[in-house]
Amino acid sequence: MEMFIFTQHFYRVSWLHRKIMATINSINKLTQNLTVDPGVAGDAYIQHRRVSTPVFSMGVDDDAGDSFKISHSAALGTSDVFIMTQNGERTLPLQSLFLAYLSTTVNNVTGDGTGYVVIYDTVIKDYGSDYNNATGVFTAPTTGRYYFNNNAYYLSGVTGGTHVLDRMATSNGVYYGSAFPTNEILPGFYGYQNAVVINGGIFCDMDAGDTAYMTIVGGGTGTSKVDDIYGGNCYTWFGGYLVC
Amino acid sequence: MTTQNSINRMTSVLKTDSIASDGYEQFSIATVNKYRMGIDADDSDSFKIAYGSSLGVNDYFVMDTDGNLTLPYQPAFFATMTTSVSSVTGDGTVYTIIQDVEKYDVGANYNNANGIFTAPVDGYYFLSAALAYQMGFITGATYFLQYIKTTKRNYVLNNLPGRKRVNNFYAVTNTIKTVGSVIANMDAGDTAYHVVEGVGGLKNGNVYIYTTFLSGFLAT
Repeated sequence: MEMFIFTQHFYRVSWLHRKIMATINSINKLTQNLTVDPGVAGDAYIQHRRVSTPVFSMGVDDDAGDSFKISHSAALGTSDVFIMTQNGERTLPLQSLFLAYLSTTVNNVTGDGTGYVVIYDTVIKDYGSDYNNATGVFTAPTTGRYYFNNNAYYLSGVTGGTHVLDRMATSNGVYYGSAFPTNEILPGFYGYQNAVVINGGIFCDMDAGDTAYMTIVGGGTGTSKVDDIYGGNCYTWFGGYLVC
Repeated sequence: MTTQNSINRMTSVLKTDSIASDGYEQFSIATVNKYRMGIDADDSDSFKIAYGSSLGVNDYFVMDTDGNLTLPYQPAFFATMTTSVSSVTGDGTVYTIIQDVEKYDVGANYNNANGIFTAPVDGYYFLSAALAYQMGFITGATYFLQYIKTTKRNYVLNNLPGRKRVNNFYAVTNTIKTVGSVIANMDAGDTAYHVVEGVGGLKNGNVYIYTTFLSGFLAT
């Protein structure tokens, strides 16, 4: 099939050359344009190889609504890394991205100033397998700028923290989200499930191998480690992706 | 022979060039032009992928010579409110906020009549919302929740007490302003909307025009 398509390319380009006076070879001379067309139904694409091994293919996928694709394979439709639909909607199906949540409430994890590292154990998606749901740590696969956001349901015990704050640490920075008083110092300061939500979002730079994780800190004078973080779908979560 | 024909053999470099106009590759199927990719001489030599057969028309991917990438047709929207709405929750009513004014809505996927965004393709969407909530005093909610609700799951952005429980818990214009965001997975046709739910009192909570919004874009 591939040979057939390439043969079609050959005849079509030869025809174009004749038509535009141009036996202008696009390789060793120059031409304004190169048309890639199988002449019949089928993908129209250019394949980039190294030592005869296909690495990336790029062109129009005739099998998927005529999307323009870049694929990390010999054929469009397999390992697509860039998809642009006919309406201009671009997705990056294999871009590093994760979203995970805490499935079960963890008890007595902070309140005394402990920075508790939340382990979001249930993974909704983890393209690239860069997030570790056993440790709660995301590791950047490549140098770039990443966006992260998180939410946490915080339940303060009777002798727990008088305040709570949201903190994300990366290998080269610490970033804070929201912070609130708790019921311990401001009676009645809680919502559903006797909890308050704290959250944050940050756009930050990371080098390949750098890590990011979330900590929740409940603390204050005379407090003890009796505070909980509420679990369930989707109360306490952590997500992020490579933006650029 | 260091260069070979790119069609039936191979080459390491393929060049398109012209005297003063675009240099491009045209991808077509059965002579129907689908996409054109190359340098737009009429737009400061930006590198583009355009739908159809002309750079400069339906440019879906634009990379300028400084490396700035824009996606002019990428789904994105930002919507606010023209007027506050009164007595919409506080008694447990789950109220969908209708942000009726679109500052922008690329792809027309947000409906400003019902406040619902519909995903045009499978992907991950960055969704962000801000709520200015005016709580009823004494008789209002004991607590309130702010969500972004999608077809797949509800994302609770905030969960805070009401003034019935904490009397002086309010800020400018007697509101509490809460914000939040999520990177949500959505399939084509899935919906997302912005919700406030006040619980434990009378239905006298208001959504105030002041900076309430819902926005989003297709991230990956």
